[in-house]
Amino acid sequence: MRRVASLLIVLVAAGCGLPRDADGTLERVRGGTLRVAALPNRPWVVDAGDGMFRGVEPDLVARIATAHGARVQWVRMPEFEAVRALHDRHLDLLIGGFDRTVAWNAEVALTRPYLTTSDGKAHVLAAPPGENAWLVHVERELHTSKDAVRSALASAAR
Amino acid sequence: MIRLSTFTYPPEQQALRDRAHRYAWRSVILISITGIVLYLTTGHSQTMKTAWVTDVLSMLPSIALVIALRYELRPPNAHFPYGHFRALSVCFLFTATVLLSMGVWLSLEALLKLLRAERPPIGVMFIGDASVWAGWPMIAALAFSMFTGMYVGRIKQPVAQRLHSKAIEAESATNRNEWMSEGAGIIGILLVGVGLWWADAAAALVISVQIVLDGWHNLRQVIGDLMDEAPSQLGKHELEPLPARLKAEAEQLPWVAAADVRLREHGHVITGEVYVVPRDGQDLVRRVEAAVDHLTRLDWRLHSLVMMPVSEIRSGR
Repeated sequence: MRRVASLLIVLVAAGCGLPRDADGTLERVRGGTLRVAALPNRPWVVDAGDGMFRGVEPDLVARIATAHGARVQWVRMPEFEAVRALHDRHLDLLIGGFDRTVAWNAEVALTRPYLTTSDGKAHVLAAPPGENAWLVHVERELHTSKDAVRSALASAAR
Repeated sequence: MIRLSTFTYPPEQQALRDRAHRYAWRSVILISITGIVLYLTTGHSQTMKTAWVTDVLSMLPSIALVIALRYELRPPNAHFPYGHFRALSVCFLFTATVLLSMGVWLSLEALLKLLRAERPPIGVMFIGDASVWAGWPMIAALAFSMFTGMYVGRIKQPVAQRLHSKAIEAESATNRNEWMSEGAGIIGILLVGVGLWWADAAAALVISVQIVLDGWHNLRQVIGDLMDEAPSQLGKHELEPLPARLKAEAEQLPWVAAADVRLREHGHVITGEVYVVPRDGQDLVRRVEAAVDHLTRLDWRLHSLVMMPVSEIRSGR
């Protein structure tokens, strides 16, 4: 019984740090740069023309960056290249108002939906696959932003 | 006419058979529950997908047994004059083939993921408003499935041994082997947790190889059955001493000069022929009938034993 208990304590202690990234994305983003490719798609991602992006998802990116003390570096590239770059971990996030049935969903790590719209689309962001600590942090941030997203959309509609 | 009557189990074996039937149902129900739990936690992990498939597949032998037990004791008819005992073999042939093909398919899939270096995304799971890494519920589901498999496997083992049933032994072994798949799954998910992305596909590969071995083992056994293999010991390759015992017993009859015996397994029962060289032709019909009744009583599994008087035993074997 004592052996089982001590084994459990060891497991829990070891388990608190899980998951870790396969390639250390979270460590790199913390206090560093967050590389995000944005594909314009109103109202989720709007090209502001000044090298910046606005809309629901850039707002979410800004929240994630703030939470990790990171600076956002916006990247412009065509969709197929962005997907490839994300898959190869040259990007940290890809946004563009996707829902989770997007054709390349097996190539990347889609987050949990941060919003399901009335047309049944479950909106997600895309992260590099296998960077599970980073994915967990992004998903937690999305979860706490749910209300902000809804009120932002409501005020945009008015 | 005793020899053409339908087979009935002795009371003790009948009770064991009923127990096997109940356990098979219990397995189907419990494994369905673990199947649902695994499905709910699966996500994008190849390990979890494979573990889920093995879990569902491990139900097949139990389903096969329930179906086979339904047909096994149907009396012989014009179409099936030897009875329906081989229903067990048919069901196990099906199960073994499914296990083997699924196993091969899953190992190829895991291998492909490994070669392509596909990294498994495992994010968070929300339980109410609290969030945990989705790996933890996966591990919990795997552990639950592991203990369920071990439990249903263990309860069936003594029944299989006392009933000398290869079918039930195979069913029990499939359940017991689940611990290896689920164990590999748990280790795989934990390794993914510490950042080793290849562990997911590697664990899936280990599990699918386990399915292949399981299917292969069952297939060899059922092919032995269909090839009229002599009765062999449960879970082993060695033959049973029953044919030799029957031969010795027949040779001890005062009117028998020499005897030879061949037996085969027919599902749970054993059938075959006894060739005897009588010392004289006196009262042969009555002697043969009495001898068959006597020999059939040596083992409860013996059924439809045929005794053939011949002029000499040619040892063609």
